[in-house]
Amino acid sequence: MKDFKLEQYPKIATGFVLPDDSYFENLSEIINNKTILSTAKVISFYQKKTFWIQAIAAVFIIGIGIFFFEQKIASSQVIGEEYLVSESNISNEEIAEQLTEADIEHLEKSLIIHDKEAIENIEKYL
Amino acid sequence: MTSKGKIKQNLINETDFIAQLLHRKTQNEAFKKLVLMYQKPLYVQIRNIVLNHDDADDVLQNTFVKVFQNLSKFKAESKLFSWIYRIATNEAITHINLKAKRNGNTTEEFQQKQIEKLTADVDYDGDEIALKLQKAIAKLPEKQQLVFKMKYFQELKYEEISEILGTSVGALKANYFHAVKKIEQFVIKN
Repeated sequence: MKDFKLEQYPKIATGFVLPDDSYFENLSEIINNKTILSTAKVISFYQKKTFWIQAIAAVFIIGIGIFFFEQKIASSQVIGEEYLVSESNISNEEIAEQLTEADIEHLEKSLIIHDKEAIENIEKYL
Repeated sequence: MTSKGKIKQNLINETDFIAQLLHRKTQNEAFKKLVLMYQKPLYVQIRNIVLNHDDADDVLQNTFVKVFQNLSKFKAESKLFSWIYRIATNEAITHINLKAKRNGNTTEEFQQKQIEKLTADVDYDGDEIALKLQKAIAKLPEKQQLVFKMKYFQELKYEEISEILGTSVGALKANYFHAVKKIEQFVIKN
C-alpha cells in the first residue's frame, strides 16, 4: 500500500463478535452468585472442623502444661527437703532446746509413740 | 458496538442510582441493574484490550466483583461510568501483563501471538485490514493503545477517556495523533 490515511479510510471494525444474549443472561447470574449471594455469612464445614481441631489442640496443650508444672513443683519440694537435711548444721539437741511442751505433745501425737501395738513391736524387736 | 448511549439513558438520575447502590437495603437490586446496564459495554472495552473471549469473560467477572466489593469506597467525585470503566481497564491490563509474564513473553510479544490466533477464533470475523490494524495497535505503547481503542473503536469523547485514564485531554489528543501516524506507517510498510 503506497498511501494510507486512517481518517480517510472507511471505518475499520474491531472484528470481535459480541456474544449472544444467552451468554449475558448466564453472566448476570454468575456475577450475582459471586457478589450479592456470597455476602450472606456461611460457616463452611471446613471452618467448623478447624474450630474443633483448634479447641482440642488447645485443651491438650494446656493439659500437658499442667501435668509437667505439677511434676516440677513436686520434685522441687523433695529436693528442698533433702537439701535442708544434708546442708543443715543444727544438731538434734539444739532442735530439742527450741521445742516447747506443746510442741512435744504435738509431736508425740503425730508419731503415735504411745500406740500399744507399736510399743509391743518395738519390745519384741529389742 | 457501543452501548454508552443506553447507559446514559438508563442513568438519567445518576445521583439517585448511586444512593441506591450505597444503601444497604437497596444495594442488591441496584447492583443487579448495574450489571445489566454495563455488561455489554464493559465486555467491549475489555475484549478490545485482552483480544479473546475467554480472557474477556474472566476479566469481566472480576471487574464486577471488584465493583461490588468497592462500592463503599466509591466517591461521587467521579462519574460512575468512568469509575467502572477505570476498574475494567486496570483489570484487563493487569490480566494480559500477568499472562505474558507467565508465558515468558513481553506484553507486545504476547499480544502479537494472540492476534495470530484470531484468524482461527470463532468469535472473530475481522477482514484483512482489521487484522492488520490489530497488529499495528499491538506495536504501540500501552497508553497509545488504550487511547486509540477507546477513541477510534468505541468512539468515546476525549473528556470521557480523560476521566477513565486520569490523563489530560491535551495529552490524550497527542497520544491519539501519534498512534494514528504509527498505524498508518505500519499499514503502508506491511
